Order: sequence, then structure tokens, then C-alpha cells
Amino acid sequence: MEYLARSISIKRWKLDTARGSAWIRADAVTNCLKTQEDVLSFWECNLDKNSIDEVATAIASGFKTLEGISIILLAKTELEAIGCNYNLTDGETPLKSAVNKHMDVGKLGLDDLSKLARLIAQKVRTSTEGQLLINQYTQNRLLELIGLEIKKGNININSLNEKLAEKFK
Amino acid sequence: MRGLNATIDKEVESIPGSILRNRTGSQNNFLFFRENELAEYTYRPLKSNFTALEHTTNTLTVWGFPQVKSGTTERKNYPYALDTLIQSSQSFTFQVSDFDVTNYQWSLNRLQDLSLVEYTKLKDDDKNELLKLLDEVPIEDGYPHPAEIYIEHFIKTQPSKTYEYLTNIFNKNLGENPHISYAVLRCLGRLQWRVVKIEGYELILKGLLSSNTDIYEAITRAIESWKLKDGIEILRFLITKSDDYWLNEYIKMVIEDLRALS
Repeated sequence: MEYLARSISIKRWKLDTARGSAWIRADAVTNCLKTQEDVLSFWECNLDKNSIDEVATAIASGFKTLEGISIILLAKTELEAIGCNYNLTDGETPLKSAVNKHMDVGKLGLDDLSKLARLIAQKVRTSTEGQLLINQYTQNRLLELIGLEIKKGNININSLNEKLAEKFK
Repeated sequence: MRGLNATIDKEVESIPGSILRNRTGSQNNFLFFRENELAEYTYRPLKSNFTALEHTTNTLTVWGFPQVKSGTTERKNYPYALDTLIQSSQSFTFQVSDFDVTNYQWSLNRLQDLSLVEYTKLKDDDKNELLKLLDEVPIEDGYPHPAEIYIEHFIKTQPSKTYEYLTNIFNKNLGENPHISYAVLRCLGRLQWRVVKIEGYELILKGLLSSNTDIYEAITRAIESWKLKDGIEILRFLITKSDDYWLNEYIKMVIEDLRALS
């Protein structure tokens, strides 16, 4: 698998024409790139819709409140180019097939975060829907995807947050 | 809220809920929480039989139930300053001193998704608390915002005053602190339609006068969450106002979802 994916809030990464393309909101970094133990959580995937759907399902099935999300894809080669290391770790998700597709990126320092932020900003600001590098999922689509995985036995409904599980009963 | 260090004592974990007290309020202000909701808070021991919980914002204190193990039916009189808790929407009353694990769980089932047990008045302290949360705690997709609990309780107990207050906050901050106005709409949009009703929708639509695309996003998410087919025209209008490529793509997807509703 060539890509690592993560959920971000796109609006925080928008271009501010008044400030120029080099400017990135601090809120984007402090909210969308919140590290734990200097590590960021990503999911491994390919540049195809099914693989990205799996990432979206892995993330959304862990939610307390189902809401639309945006998934950004970064090529492993891009991460390597800016000196970011990644390694497989067990993912915390009710989606069984995704547990072994979780990647920790780190240990990250301030410079690494800054490079990562520039990579993300550039993708949000220049890519388009069909390129699959930014993928938006509505609440309804996520419901469909999670429901499908429950039917396939890939998600145990009891492992979902109580409020989320109610939507499938 | 993610990534909080919640160290949950095993015995506390077996207790299905807790009473939350508004630190600034009188002793009559109590909220009822289910166990899974308490995972958002950090626990610390208080006295031998009690546990205190603190929210990251340090604005709330929770007084846990005495650590009675599940399955026992031992009746206890709890030395709280609680006399009567009233589940306001159903006029359902019970005495705290009647609590044992058995009827506590019955109460829990009865209350279901209602966190509110009693909330008396929308006082100035509560308003400050709510505004502080809206201002300081960022909205995270998929995770509840602490202000939602307040807003839901206030709407349930005194809807007209609450909407008046929320509209005030929204209008007052739209220019200089749009993140607060955004947070008002996002929190409102996350509540169920049966709670917010048409008054909530009317407040959301005040955002149409803004030129801020974040506000448009909040409107979109509310209409999406409430599954308002009538909102399709509003969403189409937003596309004409917004120059945000990704937001417009998202709005188009929501319109498709709403159109597909039977």
C-alpha cells in the first residue's frame, strides 16, 4: 500500500488569499495534527475508492457522534521525502479488517509537523475531488459504509458507541 | 476531547452513572450522566467512598456515586445535599435516598438519552459557562462538544429564553469572533430535530446573512444531520454564495443524500 490517510478538517487548511500561500493557520496544526507521544495516527491505503472507504469506515466507526469527515492521503514517498518515519501498530477501531492497517507516524518534532502541515495545505489547496487525495464523506455515506461492514460481520455492533449503534438497530 | 488521560478506577467503572454538579450553581443544579459519557473526564479520588471528575476545561465537577459494586441491592442513604431529583420533561420524581444499585439502573434506563435531571434557571453563571465553552473548546468532528449538554438542557427547560440567548451570542460574535457563532450553530446542529424544532432551524438560517464560509458549513451540517429535505433550496443557495471548492462539493453530496430520502 502506497499511501497513508488521516481525517482532517478541510476548512482549517484553506488558502487565505490576503495572507498568501505560505500561511497556514496555527489552528490547523493544533487541531488536525494533534500528536500523542509525538506520534500521529494514520491508516494505510491505496489510491482507490474501496481502500479509502475502508479508512473512512475505520475512523467513523470509532465516533461518538456520526458526522461527515474528510480524509487526506499522503504518499509514503512524500512522507519519506520530508524525513517522517512510519510503522505499523494496532489501530483502535471497531472495523476488524482495518486494525492491522494502522500506522504511527513519528516521532515528530516541530520541524516535522511544519513540513507535514505544508504538505497537507498544498494538497487541500490544489487537488480536486476526482484525484482521490482529498475525500469527503457525508454522514449518510458513512452510515451506509458502517452498515455494510456490520452486515459482513466485519464490525460488531456492540463495539460501536452506544448512540452510533442505535442507528443500526 | 480525544486523548484525555482518563484513569478509571475499576470500581467506579462498574457504576453506571454519576451526578454532575455545576460548580458555580446552587446545590439544586444537577445533571445525570451515564457511565460511557464519563469517559470524557479525568477522575480523581475524593473521599473514601466518592470520586470526583474534572473536565479538561476545569469548569465542572462531578461527584460520583458511592462505590457500590454492581449486583448488590444494599440500600444506602447518600449523604448528599440532594433531596429530590426531577426529570423535568416527564415530571418524573424520585428520591436520592431511595437509590440502590437496582433502582439506580432502573432510573438510568428510564432516563435513556436524557442527561438532564434538574436544571432550574438559565442563570448568569450558566451563561458565562456556556459562552466560555463555545469560545475555548474547538469543535471536533465526531466527538461531542461540552456545550451541547448545556444547550440541550436549556432548550428543554426554557426554549424561548435559550434561543433568545443563543441568537444574541450568534449575532454578537459573528463579526469579531466568528468561531463562537460557528460553535453555536455546530452544537445546535448536533442536537436531535425533536429537541431543536423549528426554532433551531430559524436560528441556523440567520447564518445565511453572513459571508463566512465556516458558517455555511455549519448550516450545511445541521440540515444534513436533521435530514431536512426542505433545506435543499437553502443548500443550493449556499453554493451560490460560497467560493469554497471543498465546501461546495460537500454541499452537493448532501443535496444528493437529501434528495434520495423517501
